Formats: sequence, C-alpha cells, structure tokens
Amino acid sequence: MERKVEKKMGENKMKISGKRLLWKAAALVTGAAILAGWIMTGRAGISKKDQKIYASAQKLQPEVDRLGFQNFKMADYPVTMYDGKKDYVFYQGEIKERAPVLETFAGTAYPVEDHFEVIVPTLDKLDSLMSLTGGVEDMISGSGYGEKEQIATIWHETFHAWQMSHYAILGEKMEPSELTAALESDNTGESEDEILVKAVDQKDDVKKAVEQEMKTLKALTAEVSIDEVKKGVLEYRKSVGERRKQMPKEAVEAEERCELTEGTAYYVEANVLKMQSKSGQKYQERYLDSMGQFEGGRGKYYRTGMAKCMILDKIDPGWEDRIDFSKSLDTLLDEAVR
Amino acid sequence: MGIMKNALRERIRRKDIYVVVVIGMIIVMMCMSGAATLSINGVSVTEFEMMMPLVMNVISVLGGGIAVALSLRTIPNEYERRTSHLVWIRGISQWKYHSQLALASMISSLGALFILYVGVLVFAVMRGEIQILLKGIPAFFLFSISTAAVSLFTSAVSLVLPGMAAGVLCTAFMLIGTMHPILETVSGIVSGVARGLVNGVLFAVPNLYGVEVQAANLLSGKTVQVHNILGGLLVLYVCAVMLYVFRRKEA
Amino acid sequence: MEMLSCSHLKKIYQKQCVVNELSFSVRKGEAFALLGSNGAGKTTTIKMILGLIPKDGGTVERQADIRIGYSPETPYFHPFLNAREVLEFYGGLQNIPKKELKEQIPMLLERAGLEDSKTKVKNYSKGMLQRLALAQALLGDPQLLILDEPSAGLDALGRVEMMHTIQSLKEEGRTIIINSHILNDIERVCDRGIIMKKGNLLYEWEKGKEVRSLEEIFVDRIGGN
Repeated sequence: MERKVEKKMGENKMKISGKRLLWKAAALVTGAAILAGWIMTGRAGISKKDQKIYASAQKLQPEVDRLGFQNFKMADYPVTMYDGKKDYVFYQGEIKERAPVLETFAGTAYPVEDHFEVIVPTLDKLDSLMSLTGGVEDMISGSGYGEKEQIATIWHETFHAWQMSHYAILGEKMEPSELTAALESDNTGESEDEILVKAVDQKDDVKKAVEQEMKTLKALTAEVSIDEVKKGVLEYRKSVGERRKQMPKEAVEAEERCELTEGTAYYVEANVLKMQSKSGQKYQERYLDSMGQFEGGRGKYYRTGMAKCMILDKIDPGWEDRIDFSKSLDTLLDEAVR
Repeated sequence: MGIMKNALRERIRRKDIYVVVVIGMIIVMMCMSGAATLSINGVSVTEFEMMMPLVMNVISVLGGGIAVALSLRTIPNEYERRTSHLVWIRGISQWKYHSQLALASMISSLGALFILYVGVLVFAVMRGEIQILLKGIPAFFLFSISTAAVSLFTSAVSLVLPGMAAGVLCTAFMLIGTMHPILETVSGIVSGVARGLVNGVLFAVPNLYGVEVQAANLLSGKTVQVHNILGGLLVLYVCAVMLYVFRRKEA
Repeated sequence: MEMLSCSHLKKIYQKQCVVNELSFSVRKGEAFALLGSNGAGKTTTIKMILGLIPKDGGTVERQADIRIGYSPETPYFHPFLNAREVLEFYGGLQNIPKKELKEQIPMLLERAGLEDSKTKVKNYSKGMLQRLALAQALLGDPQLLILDEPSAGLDALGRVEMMHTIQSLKEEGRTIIINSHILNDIERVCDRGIIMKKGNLLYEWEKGKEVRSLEEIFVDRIGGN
C-alpha cells in the first residue's frame, strides 16, 4: 500500500513546483530592486534642490548689496544645511559633509570654532515639520513655505552671522568661543522670551499699548507724507516712553535688542523674498499684512523692528550704510526726527 | 481570491467603520473650511498650498487608525471562529490564506482612506484648485503606501501577538511612523538616555511620513522625492515578508 | 486494507496530556467511531489527524493522495452567504472546476437535506448549519470523511435522517470517522471504534464482537474508572 506520513494539512506539499519557485524568485528580485533603488537614491547626499537653493541665494548678492549694509556678503559665512542626519556645509564653492553640530530644526546663526555659521534645516525637513507642527518658531510666519522662503531664511540668518561677526550689539560683543562657552554652560537665568512674556504679554495694560503701537507703526510704513511720518514717530516715541515706565529695565533692554537684531534681519528676509517675486503678493501677505499683528514673546519685535527699518527708509535714507548696531532702532528714529 | 472576496464583504458590513469614516470626513471638512482655526505664528492659515500637507497629515493619521482597526481582528477572528479549519484542510497554504485576508483588510482601509481623500479633492475643486484633480489619482497611490504598510504590518503582527499587545504595537507603529519628523526634532532637543531612547524608536519605526508627504508634494507642484517613495515601498515589502514569515501553529 | 493509521499519538496542553500514546487504524470502507465523554481527547485526535494542530508525538499515516472531507463540530460560515454560495466558496478553494461544481451543488444540498434557496446562513438553525457542514465536507467526492459530532443540534427526525445519509455514504464505499457521544447512532452505523478517556484508549469496540450493547460497554468502561 502506498503510504505517506502526513504533514500539516494547512501547508502546501514540500515539493516546490516550478510556478512557486518563479513567484519566489520574482518576489526576491522585486525586493532587491526596491532595496537597491532606495540605497542608491539615498546616497545622493544633499539634494539638487538644496544645492539650487544655495546657488540662487548666492546669486541675489548684488541685489542685497543695494539694501546698503556694509560688507554684508553671504560668501563670507559657511552656510550649513542639516537634513536630520548630517550637516552639509556650503563654503567657498565646496560642499562638505560632517556630523551635525546643532541637531535642531530651526534656522540660526551659530558659533562653530572661530567663526559664525548659518545653519538651516533642509527644505524637505522644514517642510515636513511645518506640515506636522504648523510652522517653525521665530522663523517665517504666514502662508506657504518653499524655495523662495528658504532663500529668504538663509539671508535672515546670514544677516545675524554678519551682525555678530562685525558689531558689538548695543555695546556687547561676543566672540564665537565666548558664545560657545555661554551656550554650553547651564545658564538657568531667564531667557529674553520669558522676560518679555512676563513684562509685556502677561500685563494687560502693557500688552494693549504694544498692540496699539504696532498698529501705529504699520500705518506709518504706509504713510506717504514724510512730515506725517515724522509727526507719527514723535507720537509713537512718546507713547513708547510712557509704556516703558511700567516695565523693568531688563525687559526694555530685551525689547530694544530684539528689535535691533531680529527686526533688521526680518527686514532683510522680507526684502529678499520681495526681490524674488514680480507680483510681491507673498511679501505683502507675509510681511506687510501681518505687520500690525501681536504675537507672544519675541515674535512681535520682528514685526515692529522691520516696521522701524521701513520708516527709517522714509525719513533717514542710507541708514543701512551707517548702522553699527550700537544704538537701538528707537534711537535711530529719534535722531532722524530731531 | 474567494477568501479575500468574503473577507472584504464582511468588512463592508461592519458599521463602525462607516462611523469612523464619517467622523474623519467631518474633521477633514472642518480643517479645510476653516471652521477649525489653524494658525501659524498667529497668522491663520487659509492658503490651499499651506493647508494641503496639514490636512493630508490629518487624513493619514485617520487612515492609519482605520487601517489598524480593520486589520487587527481580521485574521484572529478567522481562527477564533474556526473558519480556518475548513481552509487549512483544503491544503490552502498559510501564506495564501493570510495574504488574502490581509489584502481584504488593506483594500478596505484604502477604501476608507480614499473616501477621506476624495473629500480633500472635492474641497480643492470648490476652492478653484482644479489642476490638482489630474494629479489626484497618482498622488493617491503615493499617499496610500503608508496606510497599506500599516494595514499589512497589523495583519502580520496579529498573527503572532495577542489582541491588546498587537493593537498597542500597531498604533504606536502608525503614530510614530506618521510623526517621524516631530520625533526627529525631539531627539535634537533632549539628551542622554532620553535621546538614546528616541533615536532607538526612530531607528526601529520607519518614516511613513516621508512617503505620505510626496503625495502632498505632487499635488502642490513641489518636487517628488523618489528616495522616500522607494523607502515606503520597502516598508511595504518588509511588512509583506513579515506576513509570509509569521505562521500560526494551530488552525 | 488500511486507509489511515495513527501510532502513539500524543498531545500536551499546558503540561497536561490530553491525548496519550493513542494508536488505532481505520480500514478502507468502514465507519469508525471515536467515543468518549467530554474532554476525552476525541476532537484533539481529529485535529491531529487533519493537521490542524501539531502533534507532540506519534505519527499519522494515510493512503497517499486521498481526498478528505471534514465536518466540524461547531461550523461557522459567513452569515451573508446562502448555502449555494458557501459551497461555491469551499469548492473554489478545492479548485473544483466551476462546471463540475455547478452540477455537484444541487446534489449535495439535496443529500444533506437542504433547499437550494436564497436564505442566508445567518438565518440558519444549528441543525441546518450541521447539514451544510456535511454538504461542504462532501465537496469533491472525498474518500475519507471525518465527521465531528455530525448530529449535534439536530432534532430526533434530523438525527435519523443524518444517520441515513451517513449510512448511504458508507455504502458508497467511503471511509468515515465519526466522533459522537450518541451511542445508539454509532452502534447502528459504525463497524468499529475506540472508547477514550482522558486521552487514553480504554477499549477497542467492534460491532457484533460482544453480546453487550455499545451503551453497556461504554458505561462499564467509562463509569468503571
């Protein structure tokens, strides 16, 4: 009698048919092809798109020169793009890979060894973060973030690198090594943001006054008559003076510092975005329309600072050429209307 | 394909899924219509180009949740009610059996995802973004890769883990995969053991978001990254291999 | 001629031996009974024969390439299907050609005592499900039929009909293994069998070998330990 020891009935017979073998081979080949493709495309390093972004940002140098800031050159600073795994440093025509120095997905100017560098996340990383978290703090606010916005951000951070490399901001200058040491020490003191939240955002009267001032500044940026602008500036300065009497000294200093550093950088960023678009629609939406909008912490001073730069454009042309960051923007306004 | 057909018919008869899909559609519509205020740095987001990735992400999380819910019990149910006995004794291999059941779960998950996705397309057309209709179908294929992977992963895991453990694991897989970039940011913020832990999780769970966002890129006219699409397909492939390798000892 | 032979079958669940060194063989064309009270290990034995659970010892040998039909104790069919669709589904799994299946289904339904109606399975009584289980077991003209409690849930008349059906299947030359605890039925239909208790073989029964009825033997064996 023909007999067999039964195997599990749920299993196919051990005999592998030609068809099954063919299926297995096809599945293996498919898997190997996907894996190979994935590895090959992953080895590309920094993407062509990011390289193009850097090149396009560089090409804007002549137009940025026209803004008037002395010796403000992107080529002077390494621009680093961080993709979540590695840093890609663009400098002097080369792109170098290295382990990330700052594993964070925010644009910044950061001390590296003896110099300041621009560090930004790659556009894809930023994109994915923005779509998940709804924006990256202290960077560009508003709608749509793409290549042009990334270029504007790079210029924003380059402006910081330039400020810190060349100037004592309101009398304070830190060398890269000093800043590195300060960043590495566990400083438990209050941050600028915390100081401003306490002194402004959480004080209803002060907050209301700032909201009013923001509206005034926005209106002044749109005013055509120089005399009216100057008149408006005087009134504005008076109300600011009254408001600041209620604020602690360190909050006033934080306000002035933030406006001077971030407001000017935001002004550069806005202009870079404007340079890249014919219609200026995004510039209008992102920067001008939102200029009067209050925002918590330091965010509002980006807008007030930029507004002051635009007012200086009207009442003190060429201020960019003379700025040395030793005086606050308010002081520059005062001098312009005197 | 009879097993798949019957499993699919059974899925379609489950009313709870329709409730989830309807709730999902309401959420999507709220996001798209502005009823739910979405603001970035204090500026409300209304531009389609900006909303697209956000809404797509909401859909992918909803779709992933539906995929886990639909796939988690499909195979274990077959074994619990002993339907498997009449299949095994007919010499149907476990791979053939499980893959057809998993395919049914996957198709129903993608069906639910498609309903939510069509909601976005309809709204886009209402907003005058007619050009995205043409890209709609290929974009859905990209978009569905991660949901398909979640569904397959859940089916495979349900073969070897008890219900609760499989549910927790698959939900974590879906959420971490979809929120990969946020965890990457977290890993940059934290230090020490926490960082090691986050990096471990990031290493273990594939970046499902990477492939999902390619659909949004395609729809909004941005560059589509082949690497991330291949990454998604690779995850899908590995999940299929898991389904092949994991076996039940008893029918 | 032996159709199936089990040798030293063993199954352990949670450190408890539920089938212990069980050996028996089934001859071609006979009806063989697995008898025992609840927990005797009858269903576990059937599952091991069918390969639905792994064995912890022993072997199952059967004639090569025989077709096997199986009717489970608690059958579950997709509730949205009708009887015809259920048979089409399982026939499809067995790769029975569609044309052949179309011819087979009405005959199988008639044989199992079911109507070829559009009534969905969800509206079936336990007895009707049992009949449908038998019909699906008969798909593809099996040589060996394994029936686990085939008359469970049937009323008295249904039980008689089921036994008639089984008898006629046997007369067609099919080998049948029945797991049941309705001893009268078994005695009428089966030729041989074994009585099990707690996984052990207690007694090998053969029709006409003893004067005592099967029921008497069963009570004697099961009650005596």
